[in-house]
Amino acid sequence: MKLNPRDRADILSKSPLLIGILAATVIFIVSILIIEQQRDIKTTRLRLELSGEVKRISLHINDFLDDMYSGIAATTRMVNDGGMVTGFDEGAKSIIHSNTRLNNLSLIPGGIIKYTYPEKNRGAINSNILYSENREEAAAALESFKTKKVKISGPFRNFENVPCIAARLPIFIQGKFWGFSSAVVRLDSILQKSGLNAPDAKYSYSLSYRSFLNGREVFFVGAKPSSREIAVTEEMSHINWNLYVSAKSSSLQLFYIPALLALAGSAGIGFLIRRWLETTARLQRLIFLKDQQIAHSEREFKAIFEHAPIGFAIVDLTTKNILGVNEKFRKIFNASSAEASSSLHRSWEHTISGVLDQLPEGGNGQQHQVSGEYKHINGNEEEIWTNYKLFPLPSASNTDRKYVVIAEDVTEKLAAERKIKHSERKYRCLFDESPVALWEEDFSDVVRELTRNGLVGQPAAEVYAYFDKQPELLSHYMSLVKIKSINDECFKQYGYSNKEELFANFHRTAAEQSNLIVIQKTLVAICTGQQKFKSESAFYNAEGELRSSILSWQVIPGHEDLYDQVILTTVDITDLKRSKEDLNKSMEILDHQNKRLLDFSYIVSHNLRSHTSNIQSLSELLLVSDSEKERTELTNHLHGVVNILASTIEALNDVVSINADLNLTQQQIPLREVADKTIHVLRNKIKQKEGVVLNNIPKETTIFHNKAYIESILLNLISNSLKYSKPNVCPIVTLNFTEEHSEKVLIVSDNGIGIDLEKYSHKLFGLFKTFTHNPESRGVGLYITKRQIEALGGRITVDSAVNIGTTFKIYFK
Amino acid sequence: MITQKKVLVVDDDPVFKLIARKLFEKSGDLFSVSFAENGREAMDVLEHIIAEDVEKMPDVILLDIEMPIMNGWDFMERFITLPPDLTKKINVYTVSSSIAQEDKNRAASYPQIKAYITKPLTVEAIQTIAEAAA
Repeated sequence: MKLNPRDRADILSKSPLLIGILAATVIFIVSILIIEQQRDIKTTRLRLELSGEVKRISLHINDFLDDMYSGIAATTRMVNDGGMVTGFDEGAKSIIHSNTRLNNLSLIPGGIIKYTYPEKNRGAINSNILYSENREEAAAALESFKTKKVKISGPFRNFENVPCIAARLPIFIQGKFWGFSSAVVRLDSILQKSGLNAPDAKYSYSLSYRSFLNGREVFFVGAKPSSREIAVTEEMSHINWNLYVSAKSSSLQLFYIPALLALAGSAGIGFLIRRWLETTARLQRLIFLKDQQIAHSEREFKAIFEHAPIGFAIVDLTTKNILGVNEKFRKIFNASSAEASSSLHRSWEHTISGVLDQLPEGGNGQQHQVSGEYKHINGNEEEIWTNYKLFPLPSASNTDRKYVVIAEDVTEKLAAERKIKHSERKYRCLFDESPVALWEEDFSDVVRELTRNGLVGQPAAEVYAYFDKQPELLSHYMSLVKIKSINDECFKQYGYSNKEELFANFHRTAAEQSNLIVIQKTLVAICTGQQKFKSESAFYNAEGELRSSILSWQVIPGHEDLYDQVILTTVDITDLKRSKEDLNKSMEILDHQNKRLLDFSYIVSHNLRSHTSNIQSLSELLLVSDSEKERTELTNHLHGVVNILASTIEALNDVVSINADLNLTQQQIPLREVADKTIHVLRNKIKQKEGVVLNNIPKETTIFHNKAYIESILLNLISNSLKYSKPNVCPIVTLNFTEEHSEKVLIVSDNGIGIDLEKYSHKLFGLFKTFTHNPESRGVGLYITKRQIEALGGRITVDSAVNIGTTFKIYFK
Repeated sequence: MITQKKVLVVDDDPVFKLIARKLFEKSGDLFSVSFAENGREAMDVLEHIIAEDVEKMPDVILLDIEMPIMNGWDFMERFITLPPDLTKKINVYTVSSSIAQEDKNRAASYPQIKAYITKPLTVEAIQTIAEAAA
């Protein structure tokens, strides 16, 4: 199977990680091979350098050994054949002078140091080296004795505790062991001269000796190099030493560090390759998506173009050819698809020609747009209004003059607009000429503020509670209401001559409490989504008179979300309300009077019936009576009853005259004078009862009432006080005047028999109600008094105690 | 011999009392009539009879409504508190000039009141009272 480049790209783009890992591995393997080769070359070169260094050091050490050999050879010659030592000090001095590397020369007969130079080493005299505390020294001396050869041993510490190397030569005289000649060199001198005591940047040094005691290798400089280190070894047979020189750069350093670097480098390259592949893949995907989007957009554009609710056409203005139209465009011009081009061409010829005149001749026209309205007659002979717009189609070519034509059939829209305008004019006319006061207001700021405070959507009870707690907020919300317009009836209702006057005095018109209630209702309506409500309101008109009104609040349909158009109607109901109140009052009075009349009729009926039934019974008894005496008795009774009846009718006349007298004349009455006059009228009765009437009414006291009524009231009350006086007690009647809560009060009190109010208070002022055996009691006086007081809006109260007295209080309106 | 029925007329109107007395007299010797001026006096009479001699308890009471001191209704409120075994045989009649339905209804609410008689008191009414008491 053969892969095309797109598939290969896909494989690369699908596994960038794998490709990165593979690339890194290959690079790493190649790097390792190169590093290994390099290491071999470097190791060989290094070994050569190390061998040179070993030779240099060996030469230095051998110099010391040569001196030591010369020293012990010369010292041995100081022992003659007889075993005697001659000229040791001078000889030793001479030898050390010529072999400056030597530090000490000694002769050790029988293993015991007897001769030594220089003199400072005399401390070692008489010490036996074969039994030295340093076992290595002793073993070396013994080995020398056994092999009869020079043995160089050390390092060991001498008697001054300084590390030294000693060469011991056994001396045999005539085959018999005499002792040793010895030459000693300080170890630090050897190390210093060989350069082993100072650290080196490139090499590491190690020195060891082979033990005479057990043959083991003992390191006294450095340590044995490891197998990983690159080292060169020199066995120094004369001295029984091993010299090691190793390179400080080990094979590890030569391999692993470059290998690690190679690994990191390979990984880095692998990572970069992966990133590159991923970026490439992403870009490819983006290109692919963009391709798809473009294809999708193209399809969408074609669909929109074809099915758009407005007409599209592409026109070449150079040739005036219509290059393409959509379905709507065809519909607007009522042309079938086949004839579209020519039909449209004809229909638009005039317009396009007009448009062409506005565009620069031969210019690219890219900055020119033309729009307007166009009227034509379509295939059905209908008048069609089109809203059109021409703008150049973006093009790379300067000579290309292709234009896009957008055409919208606005026939219905224009008709609707005309209708709306007509409706608006009608609405405005109705609004302005309405006999009801209309306010067009905008509550959108109120809604925003309510929303901001989280009140919209809350139940009505919560909104009420919120503003009940903070009533001061209501004025703030009220200030957010914008009055858009009002009609003439508004300022007329408020008693102003124009709108400006009303607005200028608007703050004076608000009846505060009433308006706050209305604004609270309005806020609740908005929060709970109500669209209308009615409420009673009040306002002050231009003359400062408080007027009542019915306010109707309604959101215009279509403005329910923003509440930006609300109609308020206010109807002044003050006159209506007053008429209703007057009517209610009249009804109340009528009801009251009817009840009173009914009661009155019952009472009258009862009393008249009582007398007439007596007359009837007496008459019948007269008819059947057969005794003159009885007839006389009955006739007398009949006469008495007739008199009582006449008296009753007379009293009823008085009562009726009060009830009928609806238009009483009232005047300011000097109360004290009238009281004095009444007392004068009653003077005979007062005298007869031996009573006293005290007139304590202040001189200047006046009351506004009917004079005849006041005289009657005083006459009745004073008469009653005299009539119901206690037997054998002089009646004292007192007249006083006072004011209680701005009411004028006349007080008539006596010391008479009093009234048991618990029993008789309900019938005290009743017509024909009597509750004593007094034959003068008719049950009329107090009834008339009460009626006369109430006829002019006053009232009467009574306070009494049996056998103590009675006080009547008359309150004048 | 027929036992006379005892009648107590309670009314403050002297003329009515005269008429009542005359009418009962004209019905023969069926009734012995006594009088009280108002409800209080009538109650005093009854309480005295209960205390002294229950045999003198009236068989019929003619009771006016509108009277001073104690009216007919107040009398009835006291009357119903008397021992029932002593009062159950008494036929009480309200005799009033009032034609108000309210008064008639109120009278009907007392089981002790036999009938509501509207003045004038007639011979026929006396006969009915006599028959009821027989």
